[in-house]
Amino acid sequence: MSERIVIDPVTRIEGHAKITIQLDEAGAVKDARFHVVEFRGFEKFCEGRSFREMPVITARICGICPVSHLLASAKATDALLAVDIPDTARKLRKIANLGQLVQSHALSFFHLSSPDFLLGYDADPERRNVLALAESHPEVARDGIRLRKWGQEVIETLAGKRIHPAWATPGGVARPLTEAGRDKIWAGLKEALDIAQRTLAWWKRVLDEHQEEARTFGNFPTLFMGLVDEEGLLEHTEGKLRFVSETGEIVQDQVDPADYEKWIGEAVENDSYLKSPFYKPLGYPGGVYRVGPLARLNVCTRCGTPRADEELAEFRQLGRGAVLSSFHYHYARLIEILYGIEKIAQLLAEPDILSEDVQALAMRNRTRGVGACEAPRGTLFHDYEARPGGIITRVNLLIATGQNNLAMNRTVAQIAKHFVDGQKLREGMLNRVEAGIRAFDPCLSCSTHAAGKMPLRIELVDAGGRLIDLAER
Amino acid sequence: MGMVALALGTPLRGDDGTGPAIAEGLSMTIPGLEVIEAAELLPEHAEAVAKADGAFFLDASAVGAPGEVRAQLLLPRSAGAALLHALTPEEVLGLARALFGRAPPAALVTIAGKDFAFGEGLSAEVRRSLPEARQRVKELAESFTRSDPNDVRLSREP
Repeated sequence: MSERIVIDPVTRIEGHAKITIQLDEAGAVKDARFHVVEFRGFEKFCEGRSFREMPVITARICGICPVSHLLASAKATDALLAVDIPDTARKLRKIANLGQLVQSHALSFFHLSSPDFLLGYDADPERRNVLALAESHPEVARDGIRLRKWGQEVIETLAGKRIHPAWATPGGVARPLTEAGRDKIWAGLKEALDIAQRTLAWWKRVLDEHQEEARTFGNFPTLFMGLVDEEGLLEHTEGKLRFVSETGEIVQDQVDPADYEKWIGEAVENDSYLKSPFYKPLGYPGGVYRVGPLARLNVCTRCGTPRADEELAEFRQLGRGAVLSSFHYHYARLIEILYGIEKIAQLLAEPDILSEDVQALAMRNRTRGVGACEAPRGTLFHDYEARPGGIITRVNLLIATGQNNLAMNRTVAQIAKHFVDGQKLREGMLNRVEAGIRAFDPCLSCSTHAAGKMPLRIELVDAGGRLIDLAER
Repeated sequence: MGMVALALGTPLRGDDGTGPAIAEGLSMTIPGLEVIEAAELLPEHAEAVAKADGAFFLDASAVGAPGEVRAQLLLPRSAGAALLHALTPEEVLGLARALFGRAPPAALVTIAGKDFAFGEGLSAEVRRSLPEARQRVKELAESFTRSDPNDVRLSREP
């Protein structure tokens, strides 16, 4: 009798989802699916609003990465204005985006995933969380908090203390960086750098202990996509798109994000509110590509900061071409934290960083504008159309988590085939399936455009759809 | 040190904006109060809480008659089934104690909401109860200063 196991909802990620594992007649895993069961409808209810409101409205999509939405939206509205924003505004937007990258990656690595690494995949879920981590490894939990706090300070210094800052605006940013603000960011930089470096050193020491996970957590060939600058260096706020193959070969380069529809299609599945973007030249569902920290390190020629470049060279020893295992999203996240800190230091040292020229003023000059940036989880696109009066008539949001949807499905299937025996639901086995998803650090609040969170449910269902076992947390 | 108030919720979801609304103007009546607005409680909030003389968690409640004010003293909670991104107030206090060596006296002050749909603005019931909720916070702050948190009326008397 074939059976189906459903993990619903998946824990320690942002939003609501469930995992279904389909077993065959012999009880072996046949397939697995990741379903997102929440719906928000941001694309629809933005219609009829002024384009000038869009950065403020769309920043509300996410409480974890509001800055990414703010920036992608501001860039789309820059395009509607048809302006080049002042250089200082461009640099300040980069600093804010990197501050968010640091704090978001720190949450993912230290507080959501490190309980798995430090307390074990087979530990009781009551003892495998950030509170247990605080008791068993307080230094790690404290490092995570300190790093997040610094990243948050970077954002607050620039954009203010509000959760959803209305700071990036059409044409630039609302206010310049003050000298006191720059000094405040500088003051925490050394500690952030120390934390990033000691965490990377520790991770490399323990990586060998996770060989089985590295081999089975989404370890398969796909394309990778991310933004790079004109020299191919790592870029999070501006730049053009680059696609590379599993061998590391560049497939497309310097693609204008405004042309994303030429290269990326969006399929819709009946069992999920998460769209399934694919690389058009390879069709659906063959055109699987991954985005996010792993993809960014695979597509860039180099990072462009000294310490991160040293780490990247070492990281690349993990693959013959691109690094393929999704388990290495964690490692990539740590290198990006290091890069983010170094890059912020470089940008703060720019002579015009305190300039008060941070806003270009214009009326709407175009009827369509696309803005893209690298959110912590991957490339984020905001695509707006507006009538001559500036009222929005169409919105398309292409979110990082959605772009990893096809890869997450394959990851779940690969882990399930390796760890699930189909006869009995065991905690460690189910946690590994979840951890595979967690490696992508999906943000479902963003990607379904939901209010809410995620406990865990597992269903075992036979070939006829009959529920034969159920586990809930 | 002073007191800290974590004002929870989002003003874009109707009465979910109750926490930030309670916090408005509180720093005028409680000297040195730091207000932190947050959509959800995260690990880093533990540090701010650990440094404070007293901590308030201000939030909307989905339980109770609309406009009902409740105040509840909180105790730190040790490791439990924390499965989500967000933490509970007790868990933040637990983290504060585990990581930073102390958890101050703390309370959760809520107003029961009526409407949590998309849209800005509080319901009339919640708006009417804001002064009472702020008064409750003020009384608790005074009791924390006196180191006698139990010497305060915690919920509306019948």
